[in-house]
Amino acid sequence: MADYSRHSKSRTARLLLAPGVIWLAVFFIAPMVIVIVVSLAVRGPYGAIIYEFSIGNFLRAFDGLYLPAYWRTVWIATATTLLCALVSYPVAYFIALKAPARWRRPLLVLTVIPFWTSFLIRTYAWILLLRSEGVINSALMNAGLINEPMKLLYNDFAVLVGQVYGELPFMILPIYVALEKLDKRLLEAAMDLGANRFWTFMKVTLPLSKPGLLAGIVLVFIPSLGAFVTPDLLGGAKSIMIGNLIQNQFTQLNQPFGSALSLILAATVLLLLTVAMRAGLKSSDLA
Amino acid sequence: MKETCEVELISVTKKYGKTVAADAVSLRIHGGEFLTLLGPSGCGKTTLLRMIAGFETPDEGKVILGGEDVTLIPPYRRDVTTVFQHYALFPHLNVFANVAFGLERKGAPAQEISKRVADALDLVRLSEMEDRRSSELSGGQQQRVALARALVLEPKVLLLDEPLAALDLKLRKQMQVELKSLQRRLGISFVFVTHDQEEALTMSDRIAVLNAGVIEQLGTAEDIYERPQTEFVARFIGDSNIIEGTVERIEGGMTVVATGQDRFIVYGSDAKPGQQARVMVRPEKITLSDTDGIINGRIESAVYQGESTLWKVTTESGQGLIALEQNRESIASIESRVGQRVSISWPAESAVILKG
Repeated sequence: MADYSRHSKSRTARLLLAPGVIWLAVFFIAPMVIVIVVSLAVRGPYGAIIYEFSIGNFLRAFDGLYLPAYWRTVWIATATTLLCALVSYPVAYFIALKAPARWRRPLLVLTVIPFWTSFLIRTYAWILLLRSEGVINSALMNAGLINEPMKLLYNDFAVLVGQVYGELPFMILPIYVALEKLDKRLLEAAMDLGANRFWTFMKVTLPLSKPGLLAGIVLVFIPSLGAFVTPDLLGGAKSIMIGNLIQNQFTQLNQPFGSALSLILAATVLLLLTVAMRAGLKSSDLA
Repeated sequence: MKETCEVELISVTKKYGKTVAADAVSLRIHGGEFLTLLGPSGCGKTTLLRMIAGFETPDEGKVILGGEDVTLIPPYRRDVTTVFQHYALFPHLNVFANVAFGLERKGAPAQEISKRVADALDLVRLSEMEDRRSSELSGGQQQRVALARALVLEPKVLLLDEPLAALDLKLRKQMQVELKSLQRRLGISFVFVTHDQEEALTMSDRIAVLNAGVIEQLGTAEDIYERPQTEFVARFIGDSNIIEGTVERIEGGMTVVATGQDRFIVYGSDAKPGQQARVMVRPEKITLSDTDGIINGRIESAVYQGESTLWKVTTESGQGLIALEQNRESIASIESRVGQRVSISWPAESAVILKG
């Protein structure tokens, strides 16, 4: 009887897991294997892939030529993450702890409303705002604050603005969740023990919302490392990031080098995730 | 001993929308006193505590701590600490850091902090637990950490918000004794909030019984139980019989009350002749006998409870009473007494005329 039920349980488990396992095998593991294989191949004339083993693509990735793109990727991703954290924390704090309870849900919905429109369209909207004859420049000139349009578009500044804008919800939501879960009585306990508002925040609120902050950092920093739409549309010819570099290899028919770059990026992300986990991030915080 | 007044509430009022949590409450809490705020949920007892702690500001009235008006002073600048209902220990800190929290905010030097934390943990018998996280502690241990964390700051007044409510019965009884002896040893005032009448009666020097934002009665456990002033207090604490009658006359400190054909006396009352009177008698003060009682009645039912028997009796004027009798002698048959006529009596001094 017991054997029968155990047997049937394991069969049920296999059936339940099957769709997920098949999905991952076909759409995740298989492409990964293909990318690894291609990265070790060589580019032939007219973009053909010649399957002869070579690590040349990986060595080429460390060519000084690409260093500026890597550097820009790192600093824009870092700056995006920092700015997102600085902007998001007060917003999440307000929604979770200060806003009246009945406003919490509408305010949260407002933060995700941008997702209802395509990211591409929203990025184009930034062009309308930032270009020389755009909304911001015309407004400032009409107000007499500036005499000639500022250069707001097609530079690193524009990329940063677009990135921060796009990633903001991914920072606000996990911080909100962490703050919302926070036991408000702990704040009273801290004040009862002589901590004023500042110390209550530093010693109780901030440490207890750290998992949310860490999750937000991961959710913003990692996609920012691979960003290519924003730098493509808002950045200038010089504002190239690693995402654009990879994209270019595939459009310019150098799939082996593109694959190698992708793998290096993926490895970097994995390394960073490990570091974040060590710092106390739990996988459940990312959900 | 000189009576000092640590906490004084002067006519404090607090409203939440239409609900009045405190209605012009005045209360003085003496130095070294164990005072309990007792009442059902929603009676305003926690609101009073929170006003003393500084988490709530009264709409009207004043809060005085150690002679100083602190009505508008925030909690972190008041010389009182709180043991919260669910302990509110900081989950990201270990036991040591929880207890050290307040001392660090006061800027005490590290050496002094570790000594005082050790002393405080010693006091609640939790030494050698310093490195534990609060999640690794049992409910009773968390309770002790919360106590140590509040006591380490050597407050003049310790506020306790139903601190034992989450513990199981056995642990609760043990903590009652411990808290009381701790309070005696430290000689500081404890203001204790509970809805548990037994807890209040066991631990308190004085009890303030609250109902709908008003102190119904303030007195010692004995006062509250033996001489309740209002029907609310009589019914909330212990079981009670309430006999409806009329004041017939007053003779030298004795009030004669008439109910149906029967007359009985109640000591000390400010009732007026002709007035309706509601007289309270505790069930265990009532004796049932065959003759010579105060009023006559009939036994309706009986519940055997081991060490005692609970009798339900109806008087000739139709009022239901309950009597609790110790089973001193072995009783042949309780059932056979049901339906019999009995004479009901009680000592005159155990009857009280309720106000209002």
